[in-house]
This record gives sequence, C-alpha cells and structure tokens, in this order.
Amino acid sequence: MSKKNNELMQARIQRVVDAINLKEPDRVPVIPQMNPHFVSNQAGLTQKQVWYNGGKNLRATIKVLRQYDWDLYPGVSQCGFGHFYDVLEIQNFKWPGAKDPNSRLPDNRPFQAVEGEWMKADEYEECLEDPTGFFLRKIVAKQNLGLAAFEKFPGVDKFAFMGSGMDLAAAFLIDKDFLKMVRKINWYKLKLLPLLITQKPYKRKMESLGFPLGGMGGGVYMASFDRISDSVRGMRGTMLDMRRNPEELKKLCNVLAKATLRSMDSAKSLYESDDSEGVPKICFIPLHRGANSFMNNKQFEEFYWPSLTYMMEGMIARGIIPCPFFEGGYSERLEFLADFAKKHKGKMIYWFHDIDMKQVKDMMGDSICIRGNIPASLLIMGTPQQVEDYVKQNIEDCAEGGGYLIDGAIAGIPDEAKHENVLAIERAVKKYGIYRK
Amino acid sequence: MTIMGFVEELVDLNEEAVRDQLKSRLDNGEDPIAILNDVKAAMKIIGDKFSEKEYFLPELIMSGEILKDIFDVLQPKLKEGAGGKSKGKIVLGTVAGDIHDIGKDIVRFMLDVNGYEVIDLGVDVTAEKFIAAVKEHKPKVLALSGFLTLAFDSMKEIIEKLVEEGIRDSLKIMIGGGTIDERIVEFVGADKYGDSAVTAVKLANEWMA
Repeated sequence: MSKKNNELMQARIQRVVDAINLKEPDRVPVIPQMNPHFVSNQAGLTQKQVWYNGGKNLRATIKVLRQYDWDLYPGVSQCGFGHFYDVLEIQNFKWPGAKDPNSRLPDNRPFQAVEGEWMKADEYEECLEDPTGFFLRKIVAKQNLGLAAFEKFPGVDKFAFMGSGMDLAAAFLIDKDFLKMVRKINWYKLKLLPLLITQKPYKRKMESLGFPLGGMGGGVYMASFDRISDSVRGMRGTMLDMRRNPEELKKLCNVLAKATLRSMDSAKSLYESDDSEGVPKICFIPLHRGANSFMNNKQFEEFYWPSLTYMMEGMIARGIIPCPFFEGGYSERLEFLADFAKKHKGKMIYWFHDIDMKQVKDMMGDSICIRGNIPASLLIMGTPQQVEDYVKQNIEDCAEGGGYLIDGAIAGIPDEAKHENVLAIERAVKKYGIYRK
Repeated sequence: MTIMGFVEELVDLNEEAVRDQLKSRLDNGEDPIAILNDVKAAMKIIGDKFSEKEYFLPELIMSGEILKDIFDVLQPKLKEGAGGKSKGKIVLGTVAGDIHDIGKDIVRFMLDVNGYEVIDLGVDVTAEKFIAAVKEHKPKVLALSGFLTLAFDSMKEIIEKLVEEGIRDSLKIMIGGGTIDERIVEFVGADKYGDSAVTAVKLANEWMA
C-alpha cells in the first residue's frame, strides 16, 4: 500500500471512530452497507451469478465500489453461497438459480427469506428443557434437509456416562445417514474454502486503494423475538404466543440472548466481516418485529426489548458496538431507545429508516451515534440534486458535535439505486459535512 | 347471558368464553345469521381499535384465530349468500418478485372488517394475474403491496399493462409497503400511496363512497 493510501485509510477509519465516540471528525463519515445486488446491477451480472460465481462477483465489487469515496466499505456477502445452500437443501430461503425448483427464484431476483412455523406451540417445554438438542433435531434438521440426519441426534442420556464417546458413537456417529451427511459436508467444505480465500484478495485490493473494510466485524445477530418470529414459531405463532404462552415465549427469548453472548466468546460467525485493522467491531442487528405497527409499547417492553437490551449490554461488555437497525417506524419507541442510549454513551450506533432525524438528535444525540437514512425511493427514483438536498438536511439536523454516520435508510444502498444518486451522497458530504479543514 | 356479552368477549379476545357462548347460543337454537352479525359487529370494533392504536398485530392475529374457530362451527349451518352486502370489490396482492405478506394481510383484514369484498391474489402476483382478476371481478379499486425495492418496477409494469389492456381508467390504484413512499406513486402510475392499513380503508372509502 502506498503511503498516501495508507494515510487515506487511517483518516477514513478515524472519522468513523470519532463519530461513534461522539466527537467531531474532520467531516461527516459515509459508511454505506448494501446487498450484493447493487454491485451486480451496476456491473451487469445476474443475481444468480452473484450466488454461484464468487470470483466474478468479487472482481465486479472492486470495480464498482472503487468509484465511490466512502469511509468504510462493506465486505462481500453471498458470493458463491448458492452452492452451500444447494448442498444444505435450505428450506427457509429462496434464491436465484437454486438447484431445487421449490427454492429457485428467477436468475435476476434477490434472495428472500421464507417464514414458517417450525416449532409448534406445544413444543416449548421440550425446547426450553434442551434448547441446543431441540434446535439441532427439530429446527436445523427440518430447515436444512441436507442436515436431516441430525434428527437422530441422541439425547443427553446417550453421552452422560463415563464412556460418553463410545456411547455417542454407538448411538449416532456410526449411523449411516449421519455418515452420508458428513461425506456431503466434506464436499461443502471444499466449496467453502475457495470462498473464504477469495475474500482475502478483495480485502487486500481494497486496502491498497486506501479503502478500509468494515461494518460487521462484530457479526450479524438478531433480536431474540425476531429469531423466534422469523425462523422458529413464525410471526403468527409468536404473536399468538404473546397471549397464549407468554411466559414460555419470554423464557425462550432470554435463552437465545444468553446463548448469543456465549457463542460470541467461543465460535466465529460466518457473517463476521474481515474488517481492516483499527475499525471498531460493529455488530449489525436488523430488527424486524419491534416497529410501531407490530405491537404496542407495553408489549414491546414486555416481550421485545428486555432480551434485546440484555444482548446489546453483553456485546458492549465485550467491546463490540451494537448497531440495531430500526427498520420501519420507531417513533413510538424513542423513549426506550433514548433511555438505553443514555446508559451506554458513545458505545453504540442506532441506524434509522423512517424517523424524524432531528427529533432523534435532540432527544439522544449527546449519547448515541445516529446512522441513516436516505430513502431507498430517493436513491432509486430521485435526482442527484434531491439526494444532495436530503443529505444536506440530515447533516444540518444530525451532524453537530459528531455522532452521525451517513447511510441509506433500508439495508444501505438499495439494489436498484442509480450510480449518479450514490455519487451525490459523497458530493453533498464534501459540500456540507466538513467540520474542519 | 346477553348478546352484548358475546360481542364483548370476542372484542376482548377471550377465546374460551367465545367458544362457550357460541356453543350455548347454538344449543339454544339461535339463528346462525344472528350470531354471524354479532361476529361482524365485533370484528368492526376490533378494526376500529386497530385504527385507534389500541390493538396491534398480536390482537389482529388472535382475532383471526378465534374467527376461524367460530367459522368452523358456524359455516356448515349457514346457507349460501349469508355474506351480506359489500361496499365494493377490491383486488389486492403483493406484486411479482416479492413474497412478503404481512402488510398485505393487515390491509385485507381492515378492508374486510370495514365491509369491502377483498379478492386477495396472494404474493408474487404477476401482471397477467392482476389483469385476469381485474377482468373477472371488475373491482373499483386495485391495491398493490410490495416490501422490496424491486416492487417499484413490478408495480410500474403491472400498471403499464393495465393501460395497454385499456382497463387502467376503470380503477383506482393504491400502493403501499416497506420501501414504498409518496415518491413512487408517479413513477409507477398509481393514484395514491398509503402508509398504513388505516389509510387503505380511508382511500377505499373516498373512492367508493
């Protein structure tokens, strides 16, 4: 890396660090996240190519992203994931080009999650008694038919003896379905390896250009309530549980939050980005069901917020910066958000979608770094001038004293955003977002 | 036991009490139509509570669950055509490429309890399916839902094809969902954007009064 590019990179990282620490950097930082499909649209790749040709997508990502002057650049995700999804026979996603016609989307459609009721209401007791065993046998095995052998994973009685290894071997490790699965997973590893390796050249290339990677170094985690709603009980089931099985639901929320923190200490998540040195470890927490329209404040306070704040406090204790993404409207929740922010001054980022940014700044700007919120519709349909005006307004409303990061409102830069509108963001920042020369 | 009791229990979502009362009313030989009218009255109140932000999604889902139980019991006893008069037809769906259904389902519920006949085409609905449904049902209103940004283009294509078919002007078109906002209305050629199911009812009332 040239000296100049190294200095550029350090300056970019410092901007982000200062903003999170609620200090004024030299200018307002721009840290857009995105799905890979913005890049593929710009580069003329189909989304199927993103999913099945990691190398091609990486080269396209470098080519597209180097056109922009940002302060953090996203890692590459989903590159080549299609192969693993096929091997795992994933049932709760649909993606472009899937081998199984039931999971297959047309070549140029973004992947989508499929919600389902994977656990029945009367299975709470079994799940709470042995969450790991239950998830392995009943959720993992059903959501991923390639891992269906885990259905037979034995209960603790089969390996709670002095001869635990022999017992487990007899009960499971010599099972023919399990052995078949292991052979398949070996193939999966062969495919996974090149993917992980190809991320290295991406990082090297971006850093040599002075572009630091970052934004998800603390991984991607979900609020417990959302995990249950998205992929355990389904939203319908979870919301019925709020009335019919409220204690069990709350218990499972707590169990999952605790498990999340434990796993942060012991296991690496596939979604942790390989950040450049010195970039704060940010944990992206996309929130789904906590928004205004899903529940009232009393329900939010009872079911949604406690396990989420517990998890975020655990992250803060581990030096990770939680970055909840408040998708949808959260105007009714601002008191909760402000109270929590005040307890953890300068330790988090709140990323907003649809909110009065000035109101947020006034309420909690002295304790939290705010991120967002250029509307997707503006980046897709608007003119560069409209984008510039929007960014200017946000800077006027949020930038004072530091603590503001510019990003899109939903998942960063939307897939169909126009190149000239994305360029307008940095132009606006350089015009209006300078704290000091 | 009063009739108001049944409506109140239903509005309060007390499923056991509703089940007991339903059974005793039927055992007493009451006309299922009378019970159905009470159910409708209760659902209207639930819809109003949702509009007034007293009820939220958990309550709507719970009421849907109780309603399903009631209909399982009541349906065999009801004669054809007991549905009553609707305020008008609305065709609804999540547009092609998008499989999100939460917002659409809330809109359907709210339109339904406010007296509209809703033809719900489901999710990932193509222009061809919308056109066929519009031709078949001749609704006054078309409601397009979408959560992903790709929905912008899908909505545009659907409305363009309605124009090509010469049936665009027979309709009022409302759009809504996650990333949709006011800016999208003109781009896709719709009439109005609604930010909530309550707005959807308001627009339907304006258009079909």
